[in-house]
Amino acid sequence: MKKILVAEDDKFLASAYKLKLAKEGFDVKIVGDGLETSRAIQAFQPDLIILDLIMPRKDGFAVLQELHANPQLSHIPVIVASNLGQKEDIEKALQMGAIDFIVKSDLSMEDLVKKIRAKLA
Amino acid sequence: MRRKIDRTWIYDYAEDVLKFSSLSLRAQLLSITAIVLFVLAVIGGAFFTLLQNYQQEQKESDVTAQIEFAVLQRRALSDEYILTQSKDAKSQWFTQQQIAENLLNENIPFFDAPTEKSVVAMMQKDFQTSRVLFENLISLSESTLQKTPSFEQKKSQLINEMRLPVEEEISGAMQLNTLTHQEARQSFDLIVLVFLSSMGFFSIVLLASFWVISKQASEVEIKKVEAETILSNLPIGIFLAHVPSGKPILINPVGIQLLGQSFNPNVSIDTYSETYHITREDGSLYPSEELPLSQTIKTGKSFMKQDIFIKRPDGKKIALRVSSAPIADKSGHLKEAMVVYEDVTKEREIDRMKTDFISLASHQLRTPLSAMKWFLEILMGKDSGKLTKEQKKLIINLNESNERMIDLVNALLNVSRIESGRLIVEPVSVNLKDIINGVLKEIQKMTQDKKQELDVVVPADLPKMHVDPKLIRQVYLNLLTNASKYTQKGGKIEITVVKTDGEITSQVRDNGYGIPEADRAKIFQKFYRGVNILEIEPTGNGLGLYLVKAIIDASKGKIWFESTEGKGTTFTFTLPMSMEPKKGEVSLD
Repeated sequence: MKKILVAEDDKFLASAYKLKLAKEGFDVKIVGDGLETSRAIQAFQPDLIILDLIMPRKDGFAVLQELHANPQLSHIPVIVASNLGQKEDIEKALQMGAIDFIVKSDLSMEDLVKKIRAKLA
Repeated sequence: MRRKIDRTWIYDYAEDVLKFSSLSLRAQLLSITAIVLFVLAVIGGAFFTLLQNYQQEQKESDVTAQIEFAVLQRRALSDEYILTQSKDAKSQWFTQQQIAENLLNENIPFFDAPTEKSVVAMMQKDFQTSRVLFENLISLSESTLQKTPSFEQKKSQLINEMRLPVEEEISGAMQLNTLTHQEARQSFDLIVLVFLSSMGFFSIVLLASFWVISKQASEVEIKKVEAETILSNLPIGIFLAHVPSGKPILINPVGIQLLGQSFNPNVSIDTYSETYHITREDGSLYPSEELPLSQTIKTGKSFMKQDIFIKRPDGKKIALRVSSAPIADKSGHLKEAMVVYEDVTKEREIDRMKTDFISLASHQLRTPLSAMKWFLEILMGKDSGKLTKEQKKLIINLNESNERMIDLVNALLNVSRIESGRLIVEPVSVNLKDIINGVLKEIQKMTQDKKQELDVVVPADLPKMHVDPKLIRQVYLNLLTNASKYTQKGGKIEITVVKTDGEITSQVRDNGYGIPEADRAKIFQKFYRGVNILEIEPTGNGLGLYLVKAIIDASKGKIWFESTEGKGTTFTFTLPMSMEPKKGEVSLD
């Protein structure tokens, strides 16, 4: 069972992720802030990370930077999910090692699952 | 409250004002001078004539005095001759007679008054008579008849006869003398009169000039105070510079205050940025040649820039809106340049706060909207259990409303980005056909649902354009979405693209509901929706065409439309082959 770590501070969105991804057969762990995310990456060793950019304590960019700097973890694919949708944010995230960028309000869960499956394939 | 004024600069300006407003004064002084010169010439001429006349009269007076002397002398000589019969007296008599006669004859033209003429005629006659009588007397005296009674008798008879003409001559000479003397006197009086009246005239002219000048001076003084008051109380900086040196002529107090340091009168076109630390937003020195002042001096046109900052010595960085305008003379020669600048730091801050607020609010709205979107999706999915038909219908409605809300938030975000003026314009080489095909794909579901026919005509040899694909995509997307939305089922939508002179002209034509005449002037306004489609198509936020127009305006293109209600609408827009890049901070979604 593939492990997906979802970093999302909005608990409703987080539960939507959990609900959908669990139903799709993934092992899902939800974390609500940047620090927790860093810890969970080490402990949970996910196959893929869905990372929000704006989070308390540490933002998504910092998490990306940290991840990228660690050779043991830098292989984990990261899909950045945000509602910022700005060109610079997208470019910055991709430059920092994210493999994809989604704007939450523009994407259906179905499409997200398709993306995840494609990345994990 | 009157602000403190830098007198030197205002003074210099007032001097210039004086120069300008004294044009009429100059004209007046010029005409006064012309009149004075004319009168001077006339007076001078008269004076010269009078002087000549006076000299003539003086000369005549001298002549008559000489005649009078000669005539008196002759009487004495004739008396002497009668007594002594001296030869000397005889010859002198004739000499004096000749002198008097010559003087009289020579000056006949000058004795032009009737009295003078009659006196002269009488004297000429008397001269002849007295000469004949004197000659007779001589021949008698020198004859042998001497000492005879008849001799004495004859002599005294001759002497008696001579007395009358001689007395007449003397009285004539005296009369002439008096007359010429009188004339000379009159001539002199006339000169004095002319002199005194010209002095009077000049005094009047002088007084009039003084009055005109003082009146003008007080008007200029008022103008000066006016200019001072206006300049010193305007809440914006005003600055005048020489062309082409760019050296300052005038600056008002607010202008100096905005600079945050004392004004440097030696600054010139190349040194403004360094002297006052004029920078771009990122703190880099603003190239002096790109300042509005320099550009106006270079091109003679007006300029306005909003990306200028001043880093003041007190460490404060202020944002300025700077405009410049040429000041030319009547023949169009650029003489000076005016620069107007104002502190827009607060304005920018408020604007940024507004944009940030909308951006933040929209972003915050998106999160719960995303959650709703996903929960609804899960609810509608097969894993959440079977829904009744009624429940399914309600959830579909919920989902549609949610999607509308997401669209609205997106549109609001885009509007706030465009209005912030911080939109990034990033032109790249693109194939317009690809953009259009991408958009067609996006609206495919919509047109298929409504069974609308799509007709696309894009020439195969359309050259690549250098535009921002994100912005251009938005234009086609909004126009095509509208065309589909506001055209009935089974309608037709046509897209035509042609290359015209240096630009690309696109047309989106539909045979839909059309735009009522009353709405045509307002359809590009924010949140405006045509009245005829409010019931047919209640969804829509009135931001689509506003965005389209904003993007096309920013791209220096044009957009217009033709529409017949009930028959359809055609939107036509032009885009330049190449867009200017703009370093901004935000992009469209």
